[in-house]
Amino acid sequence: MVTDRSSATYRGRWNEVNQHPQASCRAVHTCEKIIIMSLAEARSFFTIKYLLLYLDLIKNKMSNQKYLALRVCFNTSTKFNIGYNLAVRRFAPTTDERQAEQLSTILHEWPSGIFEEFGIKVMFDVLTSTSDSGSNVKHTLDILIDAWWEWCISHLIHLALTETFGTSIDPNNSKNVDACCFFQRIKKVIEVVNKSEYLQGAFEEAMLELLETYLKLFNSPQHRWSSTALVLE
Amino acid sequence: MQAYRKLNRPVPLTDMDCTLCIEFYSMIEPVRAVQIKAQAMQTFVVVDVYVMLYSLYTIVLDVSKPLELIIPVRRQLGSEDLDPVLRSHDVLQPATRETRKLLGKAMSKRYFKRYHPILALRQPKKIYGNKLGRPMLLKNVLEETNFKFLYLIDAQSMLYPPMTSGKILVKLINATNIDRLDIPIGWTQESLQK
Repeated sequence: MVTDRSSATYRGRWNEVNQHPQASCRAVHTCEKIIIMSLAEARSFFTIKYLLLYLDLIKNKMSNQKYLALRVCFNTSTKFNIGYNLAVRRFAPTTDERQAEQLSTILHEWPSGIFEEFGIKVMFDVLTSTSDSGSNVKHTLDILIDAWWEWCISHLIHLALTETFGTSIDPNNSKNVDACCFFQRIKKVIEVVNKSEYLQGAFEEAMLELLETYLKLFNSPQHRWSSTALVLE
Repeated sequence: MQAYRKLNRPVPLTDMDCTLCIEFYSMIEPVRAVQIKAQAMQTFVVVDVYVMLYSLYTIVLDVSKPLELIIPVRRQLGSEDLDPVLRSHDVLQPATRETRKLLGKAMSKRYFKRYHPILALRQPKKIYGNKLGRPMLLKNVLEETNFKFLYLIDAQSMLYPPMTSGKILVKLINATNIDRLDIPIGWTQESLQK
C-alpha cells in the first residue's frame, strides 16, 4: 500500500484516527486478522516452508533516529506475491543493553514477539530472509532465526557504487579521486545555477534554444546513489 | 555552459567534463535500473533482476566490450530509438576506464564472485587437488557448507520455465575472469570451468 503522507487526505485520516483511538484499535485488529488469515491459508496450502522475511534497520536522516522494520512475503493458493509490513519500531538500545548482550540478540527478541502475535512458527514457516549486510541483522536472520539469508540486491548495488565512485560521505575514504572530484564539480555548478536567478534564467533560455524544452537541474545528497544518476541527467 | 557564456562568466566545466558526464551516466544508469527493479514490491521481479544482472556483467562491466552511451537529453526528448552510440573501452576517458574496472570489481566482490570456481568456495584447497601434476577433484559432490553463497536467486530463476535449461547460469560462469594467482597448482582455467 502506498500512502502519500503529504496529502491532505492522509493528514485528515491521521487526525481522525488520533481523535478516535477506539476506531484506530479496531482498524489495527482488522488488519492483523487479515494477515493472520492469509498466513493460515498459505500454511494450509504449502507442505514446505513458505515465508520470506525482511528485517531492515532504517535511519531517519532528519531526526537521526533508528527504526527497525519487519516485513513478510508469501504466496497463497489464490494470491501471488503478497507482502505485509508486520511492524515498525524505534531502535535505540541503551548502552547497558548493548554491553550486556550482543546486539543481534536484542534484534532477535523483537521479531520473536511479533511472530508470536501473528502466529508465525519460525521453524515451520520461515524459508528465506533478506536484509542489508549489517553483521547484527545478518546474524539474527541467518543464525538465530535460521532462515536462508540473501543480501538485498539494492543495498548491495548501493555499496558497490559508493565504493566505485568514491563518493562516500567522507571524501578522505575515496578510492577514485577523479570521479569524486568530478561529482563535486558537477554538484557545485548545479548548486550555483539553482541559487542564482540570472544563471537560472540564462540556463532556461539556452535549454529552449538548444532543445526546445526546459529540463530542470536536479541536485542530491552525495550518499544517495539513485539520485546521483538524476544529477547527471 | 552556454548560460555561463551569455552572462560573460567563467565557465566552470570543460568539454571533457561533458564527455565524462555521459560516460559515467552510461555506467550508472543500467546499474541503477537493476536497483530500482529490485526494490519493486507486490510484483515478481526475481527473473527480471537476474537477467538484468546478467547483461550488466556481460556487457556494461565487461571491459572487452564497448560501452553503449546513454545520452540523458536524448532519452528525455523521446529520441532514444535512434541507433545506439557505442564507444570502445580504449577510447573512453581515462577516469571512465578506471571507474568501469572498479565498478566491475566492486560488483564481483559483492555478487558475481558466486560464479567463480575458487572464490565462491569456503575451503577450495579441500576441493581442488592434483596427483602427479594432473588436476583431480578431492570431493565430487559439493555440499551447501562448501559454498559461501546460497544461490537462491539462481534457483528461483531456474524455476521459471523459459530459464530451466540454465543457459544464463552457464554463461555467467564462463564469463567469470579467473586471476591466474587464484588457480590451484596443476589446474588451468579451462579445467576449472568444466
